[in-house]
Amino acid sequence: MDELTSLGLILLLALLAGHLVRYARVPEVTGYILAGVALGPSVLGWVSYENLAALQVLSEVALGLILFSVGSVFEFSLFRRIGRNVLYLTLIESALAGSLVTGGMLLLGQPWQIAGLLGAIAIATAPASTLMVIREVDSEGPLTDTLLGIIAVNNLFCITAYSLVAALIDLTTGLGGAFLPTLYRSVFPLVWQLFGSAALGFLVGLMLAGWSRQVRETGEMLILLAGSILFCVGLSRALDLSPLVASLAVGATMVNLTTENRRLFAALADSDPPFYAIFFVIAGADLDVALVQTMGSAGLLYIGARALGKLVGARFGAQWLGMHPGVCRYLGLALMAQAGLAVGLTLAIDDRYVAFAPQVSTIVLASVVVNEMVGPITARFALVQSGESAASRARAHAAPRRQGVGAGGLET
Amino acid sequence: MTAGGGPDDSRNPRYILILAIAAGLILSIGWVLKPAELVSEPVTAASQQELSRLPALTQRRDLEEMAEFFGGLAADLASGLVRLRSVGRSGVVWSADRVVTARVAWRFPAAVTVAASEGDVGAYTNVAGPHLPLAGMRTPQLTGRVPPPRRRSADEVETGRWVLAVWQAETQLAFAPGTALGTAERPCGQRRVEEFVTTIPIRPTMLGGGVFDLDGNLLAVLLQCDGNDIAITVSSVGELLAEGETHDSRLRARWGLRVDRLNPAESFHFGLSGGLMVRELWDRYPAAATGLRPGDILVSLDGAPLDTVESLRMLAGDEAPNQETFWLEARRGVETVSIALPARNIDARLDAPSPIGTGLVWEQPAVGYLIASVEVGSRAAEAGILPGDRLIRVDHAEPASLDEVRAVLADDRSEPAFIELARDGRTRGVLLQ
Repeated sequence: MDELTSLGLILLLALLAGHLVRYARVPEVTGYILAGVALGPSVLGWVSYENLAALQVLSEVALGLILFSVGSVFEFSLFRRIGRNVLYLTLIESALAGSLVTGGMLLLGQPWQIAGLLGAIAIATAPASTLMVIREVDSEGPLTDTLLGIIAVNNLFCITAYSLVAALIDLTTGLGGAFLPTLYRSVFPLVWQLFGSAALGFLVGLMLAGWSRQVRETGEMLILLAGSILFCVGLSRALDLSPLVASLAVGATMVNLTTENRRLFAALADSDPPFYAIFFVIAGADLDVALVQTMGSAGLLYIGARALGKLVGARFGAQWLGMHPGVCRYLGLALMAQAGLAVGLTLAIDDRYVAFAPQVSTIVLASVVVNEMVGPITARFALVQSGESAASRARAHAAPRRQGVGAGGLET
Repeated sequence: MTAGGGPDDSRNPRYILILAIAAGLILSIGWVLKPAELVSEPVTAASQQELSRLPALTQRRDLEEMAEFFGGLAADLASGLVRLRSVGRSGVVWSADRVVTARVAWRFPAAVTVAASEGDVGAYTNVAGPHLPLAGMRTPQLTGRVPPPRRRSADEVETGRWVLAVWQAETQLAFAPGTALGTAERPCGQRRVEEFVTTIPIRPTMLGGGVFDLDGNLLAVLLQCDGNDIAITVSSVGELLAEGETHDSRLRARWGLRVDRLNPAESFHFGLSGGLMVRELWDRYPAAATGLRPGDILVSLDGAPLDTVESLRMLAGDEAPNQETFWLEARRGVETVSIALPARNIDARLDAPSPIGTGLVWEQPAVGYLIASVEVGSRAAEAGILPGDRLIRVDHAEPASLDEVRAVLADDRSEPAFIELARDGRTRGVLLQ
């Protein structure tokens, strides 16, 4: 099948699957992913590996747009209000999830390098599927804000932790010879990917903010946005920067520097669904369902320890920080999803540590299948149960009126 | 991005400018400080297996290019090589009107068809015979049409240099590259030749082909010596051709006859001062068919007395004389015999192909007495008798028994005896003193 036909099929089946899963009260994202799994090489094979490779560029654009949207959480006023708590909370849940996974792997007798790498990867939460669920249920409130902040920050933590573990492995195995050059080679990517990407994102965001004041039409606004995101993603790849961090930085800069940001984000929300559908179907097609059988006890432990770390870390962290009860109860459930960054890091490990790659790949890629399916469902559950979804808010509005009490108690 | 004291401060142009400069500096300095291997890291990761195959693939491509180069060189040399259709062998264009190939079996056909790059031409053999490892043909029709390859002395080729063996196979040009190992002298029949030793294994199908250097110079010709397929240098091939063109050699090649003047002992033994003695006759050659025997002393040809080998020149001529028969007068012991030699079509008559279809290969019935061993220093050894020779006649008479043979060859016998011996299709006569 050629790329255009498979692209059309992807969009139509994504829509169909999205409709179907709604009856099961499952997020559309999960429907897209399931459609991708069905179409992909591991089940029906209608979308081949060649098609996936050709469509990868669309997937990159979609991820850039998603992270740009996530970046809006760094709006100064919002971040000043919740930023400190978000940072601490992310630190707690990330550290707990990472430590539990690492500790469990060590107990299972895995080498410390594999345990460390898996621990670092366990920190990541998929921003794309989580954001899609937030959008789908149209949630608003403290949990939503905290969740957005955490998915932005914990991916940065994940990159940092991975780089530190990688540096430790390089230094102990004497891969690069002398100590200082090895340290430099190991630590530089971390610094470069965090600060370099932020700098690039800031500059692109600056250009976007300046230019957006001159643009009035929604269509032009979209062209400007798409151009900026593509430029940013492409440039970060060329410079070995992180497209993820750079796109986040564009969103963060944009939201702080211009009043046009609401108009821009609204325009984006109107036109980006096809990209997201493509993104998630491709993500689903990339999942190899057969891997789940091969993950073994280590894979189960990884999923279990990570989930436990996130749930317990988020709950007790939020309680300790005195956060909203909804956040305390449901945040952990909303952090289950895992996809893009974990897969990306696995590919990096394939390149860099041939000795550890087979085990890390098997465990991570198999657990991504589970987490990417389950994550959106638990996230939706969390948002609905916390009363922050549009439907919950509507019900909350309606109920007091019937009881004759004034509305607006849940407004935040 | 979040620097400053509040929303208003964060939009302060001064802060933005400072941040923009800082971002630019971060990117520039980071790019400069980037470790080299990070810059060259591939964006799309090739699998480890593919990476490990890369060197092997590169080497394979190099080898394929090398084979392509040799194929091209061989194609350039094609005009210097011919195929001798009737004998199924490759040949090398030696000079403007001459083609050289390896010896074929016992007798080389007198006329052959040569398939050259310019088309088929006829050729007649003028150098051949079992005593030579090669055969040379005159190809007057090729003159001026095919430039012969330049020849280069193999001694000039350094050891380890690439050389290329090229030959015309049944349907297409074939080639085998190798490296030079040097030259070496080795025996080839009765003489010594210079062998060009290379790493190329030479198979019988390659015989008649040439060995060339990378500039297309002919270094050696692939010939057979004493049953071994070897490359003989162009200088040795030149000497062999010169030898093959002598009157004596042409007489042998045409008639299978080797004659020589009598030495004093023989003159004394036979009681003759002049004449030419038949020293050797070859089976299936015209001379043997006429009834001549080793030990016959040729006295006259068509009435003209014979004193030197040159006086038999008429017999070795390429062109047919104006007569049907040559008359030879010869002394055989005390008798005088007259022998008729056909003057025309001798090759055609003797080249009649043997009947095929029986599926059987015959060996001639053994004649004479097999000499199993020869004692070193005995008079038989001094006369050049070798183990494996068969004794046919003593003093022109066939011995009646083995006892008679023993008596004739006994060391204590004082009288000389003329004996005729057969070996490998040749019959020769020796005076045992």
